[in-house]
Amino acid sequence: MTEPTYTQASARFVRETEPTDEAVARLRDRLDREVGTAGSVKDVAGDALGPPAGAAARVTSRLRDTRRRRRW
Amino acid sequence: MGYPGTDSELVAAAARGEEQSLERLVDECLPAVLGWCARLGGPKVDAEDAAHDVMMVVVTRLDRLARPEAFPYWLFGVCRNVLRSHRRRAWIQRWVPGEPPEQIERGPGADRSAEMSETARRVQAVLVRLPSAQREVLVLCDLEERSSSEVAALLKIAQGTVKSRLRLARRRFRREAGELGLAADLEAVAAGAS
Repeated sequence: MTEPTYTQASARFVRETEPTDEAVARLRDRLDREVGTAGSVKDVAGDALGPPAGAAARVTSRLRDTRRRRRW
Repeated sequence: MGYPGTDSELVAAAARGEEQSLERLVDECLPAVLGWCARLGGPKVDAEDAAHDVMMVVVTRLDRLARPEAFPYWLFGVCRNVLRSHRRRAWIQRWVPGEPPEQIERGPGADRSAEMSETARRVQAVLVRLPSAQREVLVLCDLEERSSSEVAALLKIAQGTVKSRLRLARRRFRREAGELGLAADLEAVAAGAS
């Protein structure tokens, strides 16, 4: 069997790393679930983008701590 | 091919906290960010994990962006930093004894690198061997087929710098690809000989 040329290989890599609708939806759902206790990106964004100041930082820091604990 | 967040009015509205604008901006950015994480992250980085972290930064820190028109550059910079920290974390985990960390359940099909063909995996292995500055221009220009002016704006570098990095990246890619068993293209050989 002949080896693929790098043009063929690159095209295949691009195809296989193309974000699928399913992956995008999954990511969107995860983002919605994880960012806000109320369950939506906009809920946390509301905190993050306006007063009360510090709410977003607390959410981010809590999420970061949770993720760090999971990973370590 | 355009890049996300070029509509400054949309970015400004999202930064002011207008819900619909933020929703639209997130929807616009997600596919591009996921693609960058998959192509630039390498085999040790979970693209969805990294993309999630990038979007978290976008959602929580957008208000700190001084100029909405700088959003695409800022977004790519966030992506670059998150990928760097994920790579570092993956490297550290190799040396940490004990059980691997608990994985977040994301349902079937989440780990796409495991489903990658051998050919695509070899391209990924070649890309990892490139210096990150060269990897970025090669992925953006050659794989995602963006124009050099577009890439220059995205990376905030001169167009000439994009072209010279791309020249070096292609040369290095050819060399590394040969070592990993990818055959040279005839045009590439001719270009290299000239």
